[in-house]
Amino acid sequence: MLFKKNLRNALNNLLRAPGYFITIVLTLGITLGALSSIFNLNYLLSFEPLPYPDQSRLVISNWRHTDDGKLKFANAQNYPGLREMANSAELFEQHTFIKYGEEILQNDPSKSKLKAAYTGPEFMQLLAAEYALGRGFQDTERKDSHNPVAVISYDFWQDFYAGSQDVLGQTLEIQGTKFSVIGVTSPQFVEPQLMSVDNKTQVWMPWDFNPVSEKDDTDWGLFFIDIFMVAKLQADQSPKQAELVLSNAINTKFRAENAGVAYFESRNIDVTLEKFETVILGDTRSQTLLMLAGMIILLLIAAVNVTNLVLARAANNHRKFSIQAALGANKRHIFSAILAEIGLVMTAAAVFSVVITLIANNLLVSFAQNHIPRVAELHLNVATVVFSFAVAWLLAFAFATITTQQIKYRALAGAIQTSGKGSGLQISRSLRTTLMASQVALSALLVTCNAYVLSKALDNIQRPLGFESEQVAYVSMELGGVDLQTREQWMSLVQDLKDKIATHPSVAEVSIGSNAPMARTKNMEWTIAVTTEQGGGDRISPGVALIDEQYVPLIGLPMHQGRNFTAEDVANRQKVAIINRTMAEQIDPSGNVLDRPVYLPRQKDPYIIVGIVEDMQVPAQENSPRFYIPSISAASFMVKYKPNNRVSILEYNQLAEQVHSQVYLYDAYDMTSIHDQKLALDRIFAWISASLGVLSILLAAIGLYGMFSYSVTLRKFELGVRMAIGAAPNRIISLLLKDAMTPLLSGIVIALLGLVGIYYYLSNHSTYFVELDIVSVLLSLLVIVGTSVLSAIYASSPLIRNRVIYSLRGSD
Amino acid sequence: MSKSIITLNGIKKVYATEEMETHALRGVNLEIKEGEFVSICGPSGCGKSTLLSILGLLDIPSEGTYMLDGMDVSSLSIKEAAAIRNQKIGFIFQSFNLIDELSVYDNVALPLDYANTQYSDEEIRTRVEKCLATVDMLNRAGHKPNQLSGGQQQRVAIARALVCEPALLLVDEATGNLDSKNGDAVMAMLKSLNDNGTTICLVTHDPRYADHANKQFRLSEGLIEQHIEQVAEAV
Repeated sequence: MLFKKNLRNALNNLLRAPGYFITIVLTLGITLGALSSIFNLNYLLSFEPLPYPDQSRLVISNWRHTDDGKLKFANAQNYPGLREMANSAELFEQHTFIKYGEEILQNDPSKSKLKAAYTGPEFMQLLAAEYALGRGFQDTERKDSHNPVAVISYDFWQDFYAGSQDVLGQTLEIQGTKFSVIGVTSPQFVEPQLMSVDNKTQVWMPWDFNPVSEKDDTDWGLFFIDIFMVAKLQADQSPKQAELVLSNAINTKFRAENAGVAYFESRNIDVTLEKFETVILGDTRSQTLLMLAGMIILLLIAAVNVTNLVLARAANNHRKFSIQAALGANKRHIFSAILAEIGLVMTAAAVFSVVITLIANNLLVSFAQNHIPRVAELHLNVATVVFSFAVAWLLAFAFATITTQQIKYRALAGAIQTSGKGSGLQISRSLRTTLMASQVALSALLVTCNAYVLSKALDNIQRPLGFESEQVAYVSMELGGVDLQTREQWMSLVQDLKDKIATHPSVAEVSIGSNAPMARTKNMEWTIAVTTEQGGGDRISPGVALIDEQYVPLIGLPMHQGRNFTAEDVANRQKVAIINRTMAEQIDPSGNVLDRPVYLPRQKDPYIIVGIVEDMQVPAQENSPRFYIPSISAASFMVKYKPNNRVSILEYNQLAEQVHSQVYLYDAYDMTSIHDQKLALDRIFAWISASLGVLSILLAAIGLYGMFSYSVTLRKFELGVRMAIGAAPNRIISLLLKDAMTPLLSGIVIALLGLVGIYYYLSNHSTYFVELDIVSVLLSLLVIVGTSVLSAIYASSPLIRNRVIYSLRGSD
Repeated sequence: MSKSIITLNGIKKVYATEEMETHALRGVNLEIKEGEFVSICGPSGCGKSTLLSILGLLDIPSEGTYMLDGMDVSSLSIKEAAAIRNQKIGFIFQSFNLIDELSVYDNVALPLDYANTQYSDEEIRTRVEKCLATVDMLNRAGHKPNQLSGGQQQRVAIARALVCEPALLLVDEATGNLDSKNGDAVMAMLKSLNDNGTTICLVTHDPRYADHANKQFRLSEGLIEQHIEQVAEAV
């Protein structure tokens, strides 16, 4: 009853103090909203199961290749191996294969490229996929049925067919086969992002149509990064045991099939069956948990600020409390009145925070879908709403408790009899010190962490690529439909294509190169295992590119040692090679490896190193070895455009058609766009960390200003006396700063200890590589100290600017 | 002939709020010469404290000119006013206004800390001890203000007011918080200081203490109403 009455009174009081109400609701609403949105994301990633039946039993195969116990590479399997694993069918309730890739839609005039997947009917059944139109694959699409049908995604239906209802039965021509559309997935269907976060399949086709050559399909010595087995384990099947059974089967067969091949002598393959959840999330959870920690600190900073406001309001209400105490209110009654008021404010803040969470969810879905897994599934869950209100009410309880503790109840009743001068509520020095120290510590911690993340992100953004990317594009042609009998015919066609592209008025230079210096994904690089001695020596797995003599100068890759390929090297396919500096140092730490041999598997004659180029600095990729061979056998090109010119996809297709009617453009992308794409995450991190940093400095400034302001109010008379006897303004400011020195230094020490703790935690318990960045630390601490000084000056300025008599009178 | 230390011409002070204007001083003309002991008395609300605030450069007039020791101080900056207060004016307040955290010695030394002139520790010690001795409080130099009686605190406040050897001592109801015995002692001390050449301006509502002055002004509704020279006593 009393609390209800207190609530009514509180509402009336708050209506008369809109500034107080709005300030707290905005401060805590925004920070709690930010925290709740990250909580919401973490809840989705950590507690909400994937939207598939028995999702914990859904697994995807992976192979880890080791040589003498050392990991060579992972995520590379082969076709006979997949079939071998499928022989252990008793381990699975259901299983199928899947291959992810990109295909050209040949019956599309613009020859658009699709994200495609080849799989069996079990895949959609495992996911319990529903359809907006038609159906998924059934027994009629099982292996060896050779039924050319396709299921398309809802987005592709909307984008390509504009949501047309007569899409079923329409034809998609891919790899020379005409596929009839039999189904459109439901808009609610969530494809498991098994390949990468941004890989969203547009067309699914039966496994039978996977365009694989007989050699690739049967060779145990070839591995591919885009094929997997997906399965649902039997209910009583232990994943570890299943992995053991499969590893034994694969290794037995692998050794038998590769007997006598020296390169594979010490190779061991561990089959892993990773849960969908593990593959999809990767190490995202550790990143989002770090973000959650950052948001908690931000909320704590805001909470310290609000503590000041609540205490200041209690000081203003002291006379009211005195009257209540004189009339018989006990400490509990006072607490109840305070809790009612702050509880109302915090409830409003919680409501506002839910609105902020909804906005943040929409922003995440719009901008982070291709960077953070499962973001497309984000929705405001009940747990988040409960969390927001629980945190808000917990803070309300804490504010009310702290405030009540500061009221000296015994003195309250007596205060009504005094003039009120000097008898108001005074926040204890220890509490003020604690509040200021925690404010400084939390702000310094957050600002330093954000400064670190920002500086790393900016380093990546500003780091030169090490090659020319402006006006440079990678163009790849599809020659699958051309009947080429000899290698010479192939090379002639490639040369014709190069010459044709060079005739375009927008093109400045063209070179042949199997790989772009910077691919869309690292997995698109072709790697090969090489040795420095025939049948032995150091084994290195460089990314390989087949290039002509124009490739290196066209992309402006600096030569470190030796020479570029000559036209003769390329034309005669000389056994010479150019490597990058990382590979040179892997062969010999001195890096002086010119004229040294490099052996490719199953080749007797080595390639002789004639040149060493500088490393390229591709964002989000560590320097890896690269190996360039002179060849014009790749139907892909590096094209340098004239300034302010470029060639469209349609024009490329027209050029290709002029060479041969069955040649299509397979892929074309500008290096700058790939660069931008690779830096997208760094840019997001830079924005988030800069915003968080600025927000924490702002909150710290408001909080420190509040504390200095309160200190000035408390000491107004004393400072007035000092000014009356001649203290100049700078003496007053230095006096305030001197008093703030203890909490300031304590806060900085706590922050430093916190930073050391975070550093050791991340170094020992996380995959993050964290380096000590003294500049970030010093700069952040300097910012916090500067903020404190400015806050002190700003807080004392009304006192200093006003005539001394106002301070002595206690008026404004 | 003594020179003027204070000359006020047409000093007005208006406190304005959104609703109303309050005219605290309506055009005060006043002259205080070097070595004089002047009292300003009047009923509550007549503008005594406002006048003293302006005299002590704690506030600025809305209108009029104020010459202090031959210098126009009507519109000084806050920093300049602080320096002149420190050098030329000593304050004695009704409520003593000592700083509780500081010892008696440090309270008295405080104005020297704020002075533009850098004093050595030895100079500070000499001056502080001299002033404390003058008010007979040297033996309490290490005490904190809250360990002293009201009368003792006011004597410390006088010592603090004297430490920079000001040309003018402004005394605001210095006996208001004291019993008659302590009040008399303080007045005797002020008289003695005046006898030694210190110019004193005393604001009081107590006619008994106002009579100690050799020139009395009566303030009423923001104007100097009466001017009484205590010539007879001097004779």
